[in-house]
Amino acid sequence: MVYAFLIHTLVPGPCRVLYSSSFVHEPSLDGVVTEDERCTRKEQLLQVAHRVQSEYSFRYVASGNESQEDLSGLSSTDELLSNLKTGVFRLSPGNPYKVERVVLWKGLANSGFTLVCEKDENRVVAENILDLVIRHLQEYCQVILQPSEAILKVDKVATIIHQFLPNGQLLFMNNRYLRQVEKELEQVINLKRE
Amino acid sequence: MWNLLWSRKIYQSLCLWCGFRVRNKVTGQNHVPQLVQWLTKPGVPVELQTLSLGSLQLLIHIDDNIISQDDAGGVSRQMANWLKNASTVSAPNPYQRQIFRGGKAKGYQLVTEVDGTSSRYFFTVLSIAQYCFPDQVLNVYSFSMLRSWLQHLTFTSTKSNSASPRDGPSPLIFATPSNSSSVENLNQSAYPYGSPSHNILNQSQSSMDNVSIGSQSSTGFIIPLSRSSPQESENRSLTQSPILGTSPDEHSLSSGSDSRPQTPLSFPLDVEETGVKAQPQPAAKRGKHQRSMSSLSFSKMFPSSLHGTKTGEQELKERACEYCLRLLEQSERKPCKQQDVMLIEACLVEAIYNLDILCSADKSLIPKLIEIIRRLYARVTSDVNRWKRVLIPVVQFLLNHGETVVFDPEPACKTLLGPVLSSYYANSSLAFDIIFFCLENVRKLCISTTILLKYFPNLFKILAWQPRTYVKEFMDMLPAMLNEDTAVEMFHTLLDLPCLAAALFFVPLRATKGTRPRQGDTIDRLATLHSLLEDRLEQPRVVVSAQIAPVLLNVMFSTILEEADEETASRMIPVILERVGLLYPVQNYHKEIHELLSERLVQLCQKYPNLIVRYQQDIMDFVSGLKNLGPTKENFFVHLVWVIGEFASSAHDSGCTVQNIVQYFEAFEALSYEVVMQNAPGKVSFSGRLVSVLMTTLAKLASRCQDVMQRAILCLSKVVRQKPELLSDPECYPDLLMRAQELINLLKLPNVAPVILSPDSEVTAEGGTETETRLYLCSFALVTQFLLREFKRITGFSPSLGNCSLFFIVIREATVYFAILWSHDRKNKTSGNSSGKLFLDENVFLQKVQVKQARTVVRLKEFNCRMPGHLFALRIATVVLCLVLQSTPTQEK
Repeated sequence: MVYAFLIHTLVPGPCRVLYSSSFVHEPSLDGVVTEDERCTRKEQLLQVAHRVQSEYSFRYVASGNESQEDLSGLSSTDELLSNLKTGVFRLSPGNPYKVERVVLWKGLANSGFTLVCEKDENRVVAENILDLVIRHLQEYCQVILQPSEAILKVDKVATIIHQFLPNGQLLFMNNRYLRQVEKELEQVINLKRE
Repeated sequence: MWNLLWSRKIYQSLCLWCGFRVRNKVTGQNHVPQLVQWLTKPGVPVELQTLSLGSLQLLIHIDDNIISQDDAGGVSRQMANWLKNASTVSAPNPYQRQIFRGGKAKGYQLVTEVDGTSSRYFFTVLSIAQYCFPDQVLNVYSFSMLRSWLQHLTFTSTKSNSASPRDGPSPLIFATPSNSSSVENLNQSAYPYGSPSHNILNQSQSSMDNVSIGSQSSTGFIIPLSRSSPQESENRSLTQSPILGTSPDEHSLSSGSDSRPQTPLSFPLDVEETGVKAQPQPAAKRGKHQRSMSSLSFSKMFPSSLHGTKTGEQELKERACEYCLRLLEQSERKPCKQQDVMLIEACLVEAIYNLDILCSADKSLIPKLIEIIRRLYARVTSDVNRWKRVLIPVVQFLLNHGETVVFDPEPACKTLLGPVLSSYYANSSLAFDIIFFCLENVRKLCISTTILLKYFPNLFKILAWQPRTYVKEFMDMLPAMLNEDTAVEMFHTLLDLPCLAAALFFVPLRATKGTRPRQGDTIDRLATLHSLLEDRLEQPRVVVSAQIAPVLLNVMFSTILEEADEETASRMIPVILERVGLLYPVQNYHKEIHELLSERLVQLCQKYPNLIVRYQQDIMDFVSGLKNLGPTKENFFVHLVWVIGEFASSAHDSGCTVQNIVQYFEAFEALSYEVVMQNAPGKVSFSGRLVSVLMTTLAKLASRCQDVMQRAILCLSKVVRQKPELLSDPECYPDLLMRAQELINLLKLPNVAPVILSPDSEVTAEGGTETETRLYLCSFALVTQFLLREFKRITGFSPSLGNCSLFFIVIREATVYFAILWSHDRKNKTSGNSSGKLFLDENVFLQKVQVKQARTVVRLKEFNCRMPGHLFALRIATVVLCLVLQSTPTQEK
């Protein structure tokens, strides 16, 4: 079960969460709801995004200096996807969530895509789903090179997330099942255009 | 299009609905029955069912108790049904108009395996249908949620152990007798359009123009081919559907001969293993009931459920086990598509975790499954590159359940942390999996294996490669990797972490010898390695590694100081001395490490003072000569010298003889001369701090051994006669002079000197609260400073041997005043009576004290290294205070 999905910026500087969707409602342990839950959740997600940002910038620096301008030459989705940097890290309990969670991220240029998973999640399938989500976000919104699209075309983003992460559930999809989901997605998005 | 639209609408409204419900625990509880009803009743649209399943899972995730035992049973039963009884044919293309309706008469295409051959067995996520029927969708969903559901079941069953197992037929929504041989009944009741209506269904479906899969109810398109009559005429090739007519024996044989001799899934084996050998023979004659047969034979794995009805949970567990074993078998096929390659890996991981959970819940399964898992392990290790992600679940399984069947999981762990880790530390996913595995199992690994102790240098490759990501994890794991044998090795590993990071960059896939230095000749080679890697000092990984190494070293030393015995702790001393000059020259790394080591050295010697005698030779080798001196190394050196002066005493360690002290004294004496009388000025620079600490140490040692006292006085007086320009900070020369004079004066009073200069552990221990001690210290420092400065002005003499007694009277008087001040501060009014005998006017003194306070404290700090200054002042203060208290007021008068 995935806790949340995020799209956020990656370049050094203030980190902005461009899209977020959390699937699990985490009840407060003491049962008393005093503060604004939504606000807390957003702050927690921002913390996660911050950490991803710093992980990414380290990875970027460590991998040598493949300069940014190379990317503009890469137009096809496949080329972009093959350049994605990827990482996993653990959120220890209490920081920022009460329970231990695992964060999977992939990112390129200024767009980070992050899945916050429960700790016993099957990470192989989570990686695959994240790949699929990014691929379709790129196909429908060109989000990798233009992160602001995640805000402008939020309906499409939401649809894609909904198709590939129904209720935050990671599905084991074989190639035909995937095809079917993709077709459905296509239909829904086309339907919206009409 | 209609269907699609309709389905979207339902979907969206449901999302809203469920989202709302799930957010609220209380209302969530109220709506569990509704969700369960949707799940278990026939005729509910598939979207609603998948959504209900998801929502239910969310609710359980939040609160395990939200669903009643009965409801859980019902849902389990339904999931078992979905897992087992999904259609084995592909749905027609819903996006295509069926122009040639006659084409349908050929029947549906059979589901295939990942390699394209026709599937022979029940549908799984690894079975490829061209398009999915709703029940196949539900099959996928059920499997995807299976693990968390099983975890939930295990949780509730362990919680209410007595209530859960087989509480008779639960009040299910479909009241079918649910023993294993009546699965067909179940199918038929669950799916109203069973085999008899197959043709009708076909027709009705082919008459639809544009069928949307998503819009159909889960029961609408079930083609229970596998359960329907084998004489299905429309089937294109009877041979392609052997499930219909073959016996389990044939089936297993065929699957066995199907170019996969090492298939882990072989049901007859299970049957034989459980000792029911009579089963296969009659079974062959019941070919039609192959499906129920297989489950029957398989249910031998669950002997308790053989008789009577099974609960939903039990049924789901059996089904899950069967399904997972089927996945293991399917995973041997060679997939054509990239997506399936990944899927197989994921499915294997999931299947093994599921089996793991099942085994935890039911220990009797372990002996039967362990063989399968071992064979899987052999398969995985034969092609690690392909199955690298699967290795960890397998090892986890062996680790969890190996003990039960006397299987040693250590070799498997070794493979994982040895060669596999060496090859794939740069793979971020696998590296994370390994770290996570170690962290989760740290207790078990420590108890039943020695794996962490043996392979930690390998694990540190992951840290060196991603130093930012795993600091916390390694801090948690580090104590588990330490024992008496590995402490030294760990010390080397941590110190060499930046070096390792550089080396990994250099030779990405090979370990370097520099990572595991041992005592001895390695030291020379280490220097060579450092020089070889010199061009990588700026690498980000190296820089960050250098930043985190001190953090981990601190954890290590804290653990050693707290947990380890003296023997282990004592081993650290020679290694510290050995390595302190041999570090990878990363920016600031030396400084940080030296600071850390100095501090830890002091702590070690404080806890075990006899180390100073034990390692006397090492220490004397270290301090003799100037090779360990220099601006960067001085800090550590100063600390070491101070430690000797402080703890080389019979008061701390009874084993410390006069001879030891004399030897140390001679070493320092030689060193002092060597330092201050260098013939080539500036060859080795040294600070006033070093000279000050050296002098203090000489005085301390001499005070414990009367024979060398004169030598000490001579040495001190020579040392201060050096040229100030030799110092790296010449401005402190006057302070040095004063310090030397002070010490010489003390040494000239052989009865007073030991009391003042010798350690008195009780004083430091009983120093009271921190604020008290600090107050005491500051005030006394002020008094001494003030008096030393003002003595001449006040008395007209400079403090020398002749007027020493006068000097001490002054000190005594001043300390009376000090004692009053001190007791005033403590709100203690009892000692106020002696204020009349003050040597100085109180007001004048106070004024001066205030002016000088700040300056004096600062000077004191730069004058001594942190510890000696405080302790020394404290000690003098205590002694003088004692003197004052002993002398009664009448004597004064």
